Amino acid sequence: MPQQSYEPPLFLIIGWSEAEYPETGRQSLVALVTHLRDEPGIRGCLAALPEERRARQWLLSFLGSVKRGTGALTSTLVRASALSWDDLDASTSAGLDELIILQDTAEPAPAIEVVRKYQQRATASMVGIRVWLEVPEPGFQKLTCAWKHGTYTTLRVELSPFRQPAFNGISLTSARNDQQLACEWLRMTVTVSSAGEVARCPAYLDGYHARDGGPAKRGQADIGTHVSERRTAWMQAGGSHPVCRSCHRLVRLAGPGDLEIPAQGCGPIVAAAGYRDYVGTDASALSPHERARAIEAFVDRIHGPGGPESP
Amino acid sequence: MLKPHMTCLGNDVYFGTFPLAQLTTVEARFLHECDGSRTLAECAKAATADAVCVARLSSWLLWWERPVPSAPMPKGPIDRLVLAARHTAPWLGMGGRLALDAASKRTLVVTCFGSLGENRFVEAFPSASEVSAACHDEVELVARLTGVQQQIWDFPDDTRRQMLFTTGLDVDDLAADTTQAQVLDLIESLRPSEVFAPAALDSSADALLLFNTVLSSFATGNLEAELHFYEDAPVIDGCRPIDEFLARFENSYLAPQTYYVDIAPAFHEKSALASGFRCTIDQHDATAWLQSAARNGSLALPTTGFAERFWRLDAAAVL
Repeated sequence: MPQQSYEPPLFLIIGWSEAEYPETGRQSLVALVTHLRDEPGIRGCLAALPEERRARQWLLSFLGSVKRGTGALTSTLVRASALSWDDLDASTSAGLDELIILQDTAEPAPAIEVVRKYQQRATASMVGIRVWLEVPEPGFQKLTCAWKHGTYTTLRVELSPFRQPAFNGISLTSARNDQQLACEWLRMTVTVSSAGEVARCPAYLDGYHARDGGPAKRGQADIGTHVSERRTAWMQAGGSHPVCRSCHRLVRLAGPGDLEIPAQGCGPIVAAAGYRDYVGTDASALSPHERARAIEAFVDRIHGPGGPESP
Repeated sequence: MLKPHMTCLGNDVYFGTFPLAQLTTVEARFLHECDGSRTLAECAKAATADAVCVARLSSWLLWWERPVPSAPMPKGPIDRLVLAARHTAPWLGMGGRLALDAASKRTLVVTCFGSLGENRFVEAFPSASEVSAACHDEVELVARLTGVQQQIWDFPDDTRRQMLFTTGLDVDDLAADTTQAQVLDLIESLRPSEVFAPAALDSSADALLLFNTVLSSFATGNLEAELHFYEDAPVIDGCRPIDEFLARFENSYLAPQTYYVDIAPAFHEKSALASGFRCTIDQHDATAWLQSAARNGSLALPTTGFAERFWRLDAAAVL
C-alpha cells in the first residue's frame, strides 16, 4: 500500500503557571518545534497563556519565533474566568494571529466586557478572537448569542474540542503536566506540556493499561481471559487505540536525549536532527507481519526505559 | 420553558443568533420565570403577565406537565444504556418509554455521531458550530425533561467522514472500530443490564454502522447485557423498513422478538419532546412520529392508544 500523506500537526502547549514552564521544558519546546519545522511541518501552535509575567514573556517570544520561523498560525489560550486587558494587549503586541478564550464558567459577562472595552480602543491590527465553549450551562446557544451580540467585531464562537465526556471528562482547564489530553478528534493535534513532553492520549492510561494488566483501576478478577482477548483484538486492530488510529499515525515523542539545545530561552530556531521521535508510522499501511512488529516496537518504546510511560 | 433554540438576553429575544423581537419588561420577566419549576399560572402571576402577554410568547415555549429538574441528572450507576446514531432518534423513537421509566431505570443516552449538521434555519444558525451548539442544547433539554443522563461523542458522521478521509482508508471499518471500542469500554465501565440500539430502519449509514457494531459485539459475547433495538424512524408508510430489518436476521441464530410498550400515559410528553427538536425536524416529521406511536398502539396486543415498538435479542434467543 502506498504511504499516506499527512497534514502537519497543530501543537497545543498546556501549562497555566510559571512553575509549569521549567527551563528544561522551554528548551525541549524549542527543540521539538525546531525538529518538526521542516518535516512534517507545523500547521499551528496554540499555547495556554500563563499568568506570571516572566513565563508569559518567554511564551510570547517563543510563539513569535515560531510564527517567524515556520509561518504557522500562532494563538494563545486564555480562560474566560481570568481574562484581563493585559491578555488581549500582550497577544496583540506580540503580533499573534489569534487569542482563544476558553469559556469555562456559566457567566460570560465579565469576559465579554473586557473584550468589548478593549475593542473600543483597539487598532485595526487587534488580535483575532475565538471563543471555545466548555461548560454547557446556561446553554451553548445562549453563550454563543451573548458573545456574538456583546462585542463589536465578528468573532468565532465554537464548542471546545476538548470537552468530550468520552475521554474521562478530562478538560483543558484542569490540564497539568501530570494529566493528559486527547488529541483533537481527527485534526492532528499533538499536545505538549509546558515541560516539553508530549501529553499522552487518555487511551494509553485507563484503556490501554487496563487491557495490559498494568496499573489498572479495576480489580484483579477483571484482568482475566476476557480482557486479554479484547486486548489482543485491539492490538491487532492497529497497535493503538482506534481513536489514535484515526490520526493515521502512532504519535509518541521521546525526550531530547543527546540533542543539542539552545542554551536559554527561545533563542533562534536551529536544526535539531538528533531528536528522537516516533511520528508518522501508519499501522494500517503495513502488511500484517510488519504491523505486528511495528506494534511490538511501539509498545516497547512506550514502556521502555526513559519512555514517557516508564515509572 | 423557553425552547432550546430561543435565547432571551435582557429584553431581546434571539432565534439562534438572529434577533427576533424586543420584549417589554413584563414579557422578559415572564420568560425569565418560565424555568420549568412552576406552573404557567404561577409564572404569569410572578411576572404580572396577562393573557395577551402569555399568548404572544406561547409559541416560544415548550409545555411540560410536571416540574422539570433545574440541573442535569447527576452521574451515577446506570441500569439502561441507549445508543443513538442521530441525536433525535432515541427521544422520538422511545421518548415515551424513557419518560415512563425514568424513576425506575437510571438511563444514559449516548449519541455517537455528531457532526449534528442538520438544521432547518440557515439564517439563524449560519455556522456549523452554531448548529452543533443548538443541537447540544436540544439534547441537554430533552434529557432534563425525561430525567435521564446524556452524552454526545461527536464522532464524525458519514457525511463528515467522507469529506475527511480521502487517502484510501476503509473509513467505515475505522469508524466501526472506534465506535465498537468506545461502546464496549462504556459498557464495561457502566455494566448496564439493558442496552438499546437503533434498528437502523431508515438505512442511514451511521445508524447501520452502529446497528452492525452492537450486533456483532453481542454475537461474539462481548456485550454482556440484554440487547434491544428501538425504532429510529417513524414507520407509517408500509412495512418495508421492518421487513428489511427482520431480513438482516435471516439464516442467523439470532432472532429478534418484537414487543410493544404502552406509552399512552406519557404521550403528551412524547409530543412535547418533538417540539424540542424544532431546529432539526419539521412539523411533518414530528407528526409522523406521533402517527407511528398510534399505529404501534393498534398493532400491540392488547391494543392500546399509543405504543413504542422494540425488538429484543436476549441470551435465550442466542441459545
